Order: sequence, then C-alpha cells, then structure tokens
Amino acid sequence: MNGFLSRDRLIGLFCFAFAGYVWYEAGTFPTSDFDAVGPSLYPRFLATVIGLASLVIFLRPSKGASAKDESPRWGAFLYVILVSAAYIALLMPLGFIPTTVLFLLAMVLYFEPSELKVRIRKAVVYAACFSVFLYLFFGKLLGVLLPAGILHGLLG
Amino acid sequence: MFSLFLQGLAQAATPINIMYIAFGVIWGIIGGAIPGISASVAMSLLLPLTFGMDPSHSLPMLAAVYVGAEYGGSIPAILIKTPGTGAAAATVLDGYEMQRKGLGGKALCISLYAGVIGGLVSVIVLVFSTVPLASFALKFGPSQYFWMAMMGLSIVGAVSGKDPMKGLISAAFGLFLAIIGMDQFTSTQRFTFGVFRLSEGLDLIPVLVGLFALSEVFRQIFQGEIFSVIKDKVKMTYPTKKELASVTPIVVAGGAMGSVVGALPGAGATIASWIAYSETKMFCKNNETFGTGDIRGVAAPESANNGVPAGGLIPLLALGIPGSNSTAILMVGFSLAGISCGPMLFLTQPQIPYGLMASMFMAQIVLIFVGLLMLRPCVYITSIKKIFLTSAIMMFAFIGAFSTTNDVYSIILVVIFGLIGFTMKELGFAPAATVLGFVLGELVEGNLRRTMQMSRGSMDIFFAGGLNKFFIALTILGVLFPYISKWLAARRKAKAAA
Repeated sequence: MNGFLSRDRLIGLFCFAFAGYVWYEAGTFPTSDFDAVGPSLYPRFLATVIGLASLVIFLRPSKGASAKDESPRWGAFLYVILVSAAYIALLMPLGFIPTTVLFLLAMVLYFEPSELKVRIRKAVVYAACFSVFLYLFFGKLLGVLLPAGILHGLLG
Repeated sequence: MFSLFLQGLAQAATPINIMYIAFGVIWGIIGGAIPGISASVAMSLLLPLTFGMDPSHSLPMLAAVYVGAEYGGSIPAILIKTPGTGAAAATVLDGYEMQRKGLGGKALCISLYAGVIGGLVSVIVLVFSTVPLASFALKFGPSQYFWMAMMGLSIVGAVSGKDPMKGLISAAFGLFLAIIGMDQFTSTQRFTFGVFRLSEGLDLIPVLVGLFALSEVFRQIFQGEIFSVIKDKVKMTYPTKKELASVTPIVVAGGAMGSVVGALPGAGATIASWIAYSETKMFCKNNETFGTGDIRGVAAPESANNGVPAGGLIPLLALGIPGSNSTAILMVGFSLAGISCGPMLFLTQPQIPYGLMASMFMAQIVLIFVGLLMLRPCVYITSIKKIFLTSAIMMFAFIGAFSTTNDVYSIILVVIFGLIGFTMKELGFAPAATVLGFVLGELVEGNLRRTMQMSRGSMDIFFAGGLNKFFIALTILGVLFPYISKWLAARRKAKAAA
C-alpha cells in the first residue's frame, strides 16, 4: 500500500464514488410545481462538499502509514458481531431475560481472563443478576415494554 | 424584578421544594449517565407523574431533571468514553484522556464545578436578560439559522480529528443521514433503498448510541483493550485550588455562552458545548494540550451545556416558544398544570416564572451536594473488569435503542451504526462530527429551503444583512482554523529556530 494507491487515496476514491452516487440518485427524485427548490438541491449540495473534500484527500501528497502498537483481534471482533446478531435474532422469540442471560454468558466466558472454574461461576452470577436487574429497572421502573418470551407465564 | 426572584428563592428553599428538586437532580443524573437516555427522555419519563401535582413542585422538579441530566451525561463520557447525552460528546475528548491517565476523579470534579458555576451564571443571565435576549433571537430568520448551523458544523470539522477534510466529510455524512426518509416538503422518499422503515427517517438515539457507544466497544475489542487487566484502582483525586481558579474564567464565559445558545431555538446543549470547546481551544494559550487530557477541555463544554437549561427557559418563559425537546417537555408540564407560557404570564402570575428561575438556581446548589455524593460510586465503575463494563454498555445501548420503538429494528440500527462508527474511527474520520451533522440536518435543510422559497430560488438572500455576514465569517474561520493554527505553529517554530 506504499505506492500510488495509498490508504488515504483509496479512502478519497471511495468517498468520491459515494458523492457521485448521492449526486446521481438525487437526480432521480421527482420535482414538484409547488416547491421551487425541490428535494434534489440539498443532497447535491452535500455531494459537492463530500466530492470536493475527497478530491483534496486523493490529490494531496500521501503520508506514510503510521504503525499501530496493537495487533488487531479479528477473531474476538467477529465473535462479538456474531453474538450481537444472535441476540437480535433471539430477543423476540426467547424473551429479554433468557436472551440477555445467554448474551452475557457468551461475552464473559469468552473474554474474562480468570481460570475456567472461576470464570463460569462469575459469568453465571453476573449474567443472572444483571439480567434481572435490567428487567426490573427498565421493564418495571421505567416502563419499557421488554419482551417476556418463554417466561411470559412467569412474568405476566 | 429582583425582588420577585428573591421571593421565588425563598419559596424554592422550603424543605418540600428542595426535596422535589433533589429528586429531579438525582433522576436527571441517573438518566444522563445512561447512554441513550437523554435529558428529554428522562424528563418525559417523569412527566406523567406530574399530572395533578402543584405546579410550584412539578415545574421545578422537571427543570431539575434537565439540570441533573446535563451534568450526568458527563459521567460516562469521562469514565467510559460514552457520552450519556449528545451534549457531553465534546467532554469525551479531554475527559476520557484524563481518565486514561488515572485522573478520572479530577475530571468529574472539574465537570461538576464547571456545571454548577456555568449553571449559576446562566441563571443570572436568565434573570437579567430574559426579555432583551429573547427579542434579539426573534430577529433571526431561516437564513441566519442555516448559517448558524453551518458555523457549528464547520467548528466540529475543525476540532474532531487531525484531518479537517475527513472531519468535513464526516459532518456532511451526518447531514446526509438526516436526509434519509420522507422529504418534509414534498413527501418524496429519499435514499430509503426500498426499506419501508427507513421512510420514517433514522431515529436519533440508535444512530447516536451506535456511533458513540458501540463503535467504542468494537474498537476496544478489535484492539485487544478488553483483555487488559486494570491493576490499580483509580484513586479519587480532587482538583487543586489553583486548577479551579485557572478554569473559573472559562466556566463563567461558558455558562454565559451556554445560556445565549440555549435561548436560540434549535441550538441546544450539543452545539453550545462544541462551540465552547472550540472557542476555548482557539483563544487559550498552550492549546496543543487539548485532546490529551486538559482540564480546560472538560470545563469549557460542561459549563456551556449546563448553562443551556436556564438559557432554554428564556424563549419559553418570555415568548412561549420552546427552543429544544427538553423545554418543549417543560412546556407540556405547564400545560398539564393549566398554565400558558408567554409574556402575559409575567403580568398575571409572575410568581410562576420567577419561582421557576429561582428553582433553577436552587437546583445548581443541590447539584453540588448530590453530585459530590455520587462521585465515588461513579469512580468505582472504573475498577470493574472491562468485560463486565463492556457487556453492560452493550446492554444499555441495546435497551436504550429498543425503548425508542419497542422492537429489534432499533437494535439492528445500533449495531450497523456501531460498525460504521468503528470503521470511521479506524480510517481517521470523526463520528462525533457525523452525529452533530445528523442532529442538525433537519434544521439545516429546512432553513435552506425555506430561505430559498422566500427568495424564489435566489441565493442572494443568504449573503444579505449583517447577521448573515457575521455567521459566514465565523463559518469560514471554522473551516480554516486548523490550517491557520498549523501555519501559525510552523511560523512560530521557524522563528524560534532562527
């Protein structure tokens, strides 16, 4: 990435393409006789601002990439995305408390650095207590309509 | 006028009123400290309880929630880099850096001090300048509002991140996000990609929580910070008298500015705190320490955003026009009590507006004690292992978003904007500028189009009049500020070398 197409130049290109898309798409909006300005002018104004700024990024002399101290944790990152997606998928069918317990268990068991036995104990206590606390605080005190799911009979 | 305020103060100092104010402040601090629960959400949750209450109790309590929430928003901003309210976003820049250096307690004390002094100054401004300042704000037309918003955005581009061009793109991207949905003038669907839910536009809370809170969680996980073990507990440190004295002029100016910005409809605590941060950075000596944990970078935005609640009362009380969501909720509180806001109120029931002003003053005094009592529990949060805090932040983010629509659509938005914010950070963009652009989007486009409709498509109206020229000059200064300061620094360096 040290050649002509440095990271910043690729960013400039991407932003310019985005500005082009906004400009093009705005041109497809229908106009109205009752509105002298129309719905396209403002998005095109924004597309111009983004386009000009991305041109500056693309055309200026490229800087060398700065080295980062930390090595990225792709595995952990993808794991959290996966767990979040599972939370979204299970929240309505399973209900708030069971899904939250599972989510917190999955998070603490993966990331807590203690030895396995201690980790499991901490994870179970934390997941159970914190889930119930959240349900009581948000669901009962603040009136947020959290889904009861499989505990519908128990929670009412 | 002043005697009426003193009468109001005597009424506000009764034990029963202090109790209501203290409850409001505590509720506000807790609400503000929870990401996704803004001052207006905390106030709206309390609003149904005020039905049937004596207005001399209910109105001060609601106003106290507003005061508490503006301070409360700084707590997670400083401790976990997650602003509880949009207004605390500017506090993150230096507050979190102080926390990383083990000075979280000191940052919270500075925030409290700045909030209380800023709040007291703003109440004084409220008492003495309600009518003249409100009439000045009334002179503003749509073109002035447009330029004022552009000025705010240009400043954000200048202060967030090291690359002004990426800051500018970030702000414009935020303005673009606000376009998504049905056009308010022609009902045209814009950038909805065929998704029905997007025709309503994007909700503020999921976007804000995703770009700020979840993106930070993703960054910590990606960079392995979540695995780091906190070896030392954060000690409770307090600012020295010298440090408090050094920030006092900044907080007095910030409080006064916050009350002026708060009086302008549409320009709330978020704009006030960013402008205060930027202006302080611009005018202070040795400003290169801003963004690295400088107490002035905490004091300036916190004094300004705590000055906004009292400032917001100026158009509400004097003209009957709410300038923000929170003052709109307060206006509903008036309606529930059967009282109409506006100039006639000063003639028919002057004890109500002056009593409310006095209650705002009392809320600041109560905030000192409540805020100090809640400092240590807040600092305790930092000694908790990161995974417990991180998973708790994720849960608060998910529930906060869920509460806005009562379905998982908002949680999906939070995750999407968390990923967008994370990617922006990794590539050197400024999610904070995107958030401000998103918040201001409707104001910017609405005023741009209203102005052009008034002028039948001519752009000349944007450049006519002294106020427009003043705002244009500040907007250009905002865009050029990083380049000017860089040029000045290079010149100083060359001079020193010679």
